[in-house]
This record gives sequence, structure tokens and C-alpha cells, in this order.
Amino acid sequence: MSFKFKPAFILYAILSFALSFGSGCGGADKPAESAQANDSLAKELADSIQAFFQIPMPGEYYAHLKRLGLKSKPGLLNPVANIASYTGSKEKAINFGIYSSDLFYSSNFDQKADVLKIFNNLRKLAEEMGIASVISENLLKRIEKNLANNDSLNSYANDVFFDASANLEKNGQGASLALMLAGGFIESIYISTELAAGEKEGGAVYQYLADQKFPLENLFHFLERHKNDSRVSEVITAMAPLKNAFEAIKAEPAKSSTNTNEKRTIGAGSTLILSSKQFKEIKEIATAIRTEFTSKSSSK
Amino acid sequence: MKISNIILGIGAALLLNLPLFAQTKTRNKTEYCENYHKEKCKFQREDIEFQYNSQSKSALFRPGQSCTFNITVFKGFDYRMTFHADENLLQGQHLMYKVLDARTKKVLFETSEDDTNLDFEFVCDNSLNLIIQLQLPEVSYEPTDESMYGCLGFLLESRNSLKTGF
Repeated sequence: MSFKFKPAFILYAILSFALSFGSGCGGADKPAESAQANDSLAKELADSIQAFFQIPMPGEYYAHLKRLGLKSKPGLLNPVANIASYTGSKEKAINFGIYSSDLFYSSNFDQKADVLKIFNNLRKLAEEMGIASVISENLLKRIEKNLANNDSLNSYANDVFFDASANLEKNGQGASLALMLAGGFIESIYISTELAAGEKEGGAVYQYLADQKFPLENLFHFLERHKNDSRVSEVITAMAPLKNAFEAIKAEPAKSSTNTNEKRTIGAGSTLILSSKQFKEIKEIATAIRTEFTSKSSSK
Repeated sequence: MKISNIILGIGAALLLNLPLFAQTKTRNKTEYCENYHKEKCKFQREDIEFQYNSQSKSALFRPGQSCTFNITVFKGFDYRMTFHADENLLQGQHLMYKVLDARTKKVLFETSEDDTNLDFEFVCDNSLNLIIQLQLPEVSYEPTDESMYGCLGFLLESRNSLKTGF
């Protein structure tokens, strides 16, 4: 070995030493964190054995309401300026859900004026919630180019909501995910009851609204799983009147439809019946909870 | 120190630390599963107007693991669901699942050991919550990182019920 190579080998030694730690840290895992990563993987697998509860995205809800003939109304969205008052982690997570619901409403009902501002709001909240990657600069540019295209906007909103949910789950932020889903649900019920104000008892819109009792049950199961988080327990308390109002909707025996094809039919036997009085009560309760959720932040 | 020696040193350091970067990649297997259901789940039969339903999901599993999850299905919609799992989770055996009414716990559908078709299609007459119970087969595996875990995807699609006939 020639002495003139010594400096190169010293440099190699220094770099190797640095890299062997660097591949475990600085964006990847430190050696100590690799043990943590394996632990979190084991926990994720353990958790997967427990039941989990899927909640439909607001986009599908609004798409069906539009198919049922509901028309948009002005002034329903959570003002984008309100974001300045969301300083606590609870309000940020809840209003990520609320603004997501607003986005789905805007793209389904052609209310495009605030779409870009809502996406910017979501981006700001995502950064503060530690899930900044769900809305990249690239995505914002694509949204700007496709503002006239409802299908594209809906698709972007789906991706953001899905990625936010996946990221929060992956990062062990199940409680924040629960808050986000709760915010999205309340906003969806608030907006839809405003849109449905002139609908008739017994119609398809009333039926679909009544059927939101089922995803609400799943949402509460999900919230209950995280009730040890005080932010979630507060939301459970806040939403209890809505849960009670939906639980009061009774099922009555229903005739099965004539299924002329070969497919299996499920759900035969009973259907939920929503009265005008119950609709009015749900509307008032949803509005009150939504007002609480979108108002100024608490300290948490 | 000559420039060539510096370059040589950096090149050697990078080359010999490649295995450590590879380890970092395998630790992110959970991320790999995220869109698994969109990429891998396929229905055996072509049909019209079915669209992706947001209650679809993918997750990381171990062989032999079971899972329960709840979804909501709505009156006036047709649904179809299917699963797909990494081969190291199955090793030639079948994934089994049941669909139950969440309220009555009545079994509405279950796969059979003889049937490899994992598709389940139905018309929803009245809205309800469903419980889906899944069971992966016990398989033999060496306890290496690669074979201990695998992705499993659940794909749900829906459409407004089609009215057929005059």
C-alpha cells in the first residue's frame, strides 16, 4: 500500500463512519429508531387484529345527494379566514375534516370560487399536523390548471383525504384521524341538511339522510377507541346529541324490492323512517355542533 | 490531499454502505401496502358503471392473522367486493372471509375452501352496517423480514342499482 493513498483511506474511514449512522438517521432511521420502527410495525400488526371501522368519504355522500336532485346554496362553507383562529391540535384536526368536506361539496356542486383557497388551507393544516406530504406544490399547480374540471377536483380531494387518513394512521395519530373524520361528518350533515331544507318527508333525500345513522355508528366506534385522548373524549361529548337524534330514527318493516337479476339481495326486512320533526332536530343539532367546531380555538 | 484520492475515498465509502440504504427501504413495507388494493385487486367478471368505493383499504398482515372490519352499505346501491393478498401470506392456500349483518350477526355470505373466487356481489335493499371477518391461512415460513409480512387489499365498488326489464 502506497503512503500517498493514506489520506484517501482516512477520508473513507470518516465517511463510512458518518454514513453508517446517516443511513439510520437524517430522514431514514437512526440505529435506535430501527428498533422503534420494528416495534411500531409489530404494534400495527397487533392493531390490525382489532376491528376497524370504515367511514365513507364525504365525496360519495355529496355525489349521491346531487344525483337525488339537491341544488347548491351560497354561504355554507367554513370561511377560509377562520383558519387563523385554529391554534390547538384538536381544532386543526377537526377543521382539516371540515375543510375537506367543503372541498368535496365545492367540487360536486360546482362551487369553485374558494377551491384553491380551501386547498391552501388544507395544506397549511397538513403541515401543522405533520402530514405535509399530502398536498405538494406540484398538486397545487395541477389543481390550478384544472379548476374548471369537477371530476379532476373531486379526484384530487379524494387523494388528499385518503393520503391524510393513511398518513395519520401510519404515524400513530389515530386520535387526530378520528377528529378529522368527525369534523368531515359534521360538516357533511350540516351542509346536506341545509340543502335539503325544502325536501319532503318520505322522499329519497330523507331516506339517505336517515341512513347516515349507520356510518355515524361506525364513527362513534372509532372515536370510542381513542377516547383516552381528551380531545377525542370532548368531541364524543359534543356529538352525543347528534348520535341520540339519529338513534331515535326507528326502523319499520319494509318490502323487499323485486330483484330481477341473479345477484344476492341484502338488507331486506326493515328501513329507517325519518320524520320532518326529526329532520329539523338533526339540522339544528348539526348546526350547533358545527358552530362549536368552527369557532375560535381552545388551548389544546 | 489530491482530488483523485478524495474522489476515491468518497466512492469507496458510498459503495460499501449500500446495504445500509437497502435496509432502510425494507423498513418502509407498510407504505408499500397503501395502494395495494387499487393495484392488485381485480374482479373476475366485467360489469358496467361500478366505481371505486372509498371504504376500500389495504394493510400489512402476517400469515395466519385474522381481521374484522365494518363498512356501511346503502339502500339503492349495488356493491361488489374482493380481496387480494401477497403470495407469501397464502402459499397456495385460500383466504377465507365472511360477511355478517352488524346488527343481527347473521352470516350473509362466506367463501368456501373449494372456491377460489373471492368476489361477492349484492344488491342493497336497505342500508346497514356489515362486518367482514377475514382469516389468512397458517403457512410455514422462515422468520426472515421478507416472508413474515405481506400486503392484503380489500376492494369495494358500488353503483346506483340498475333497473332491468320492462
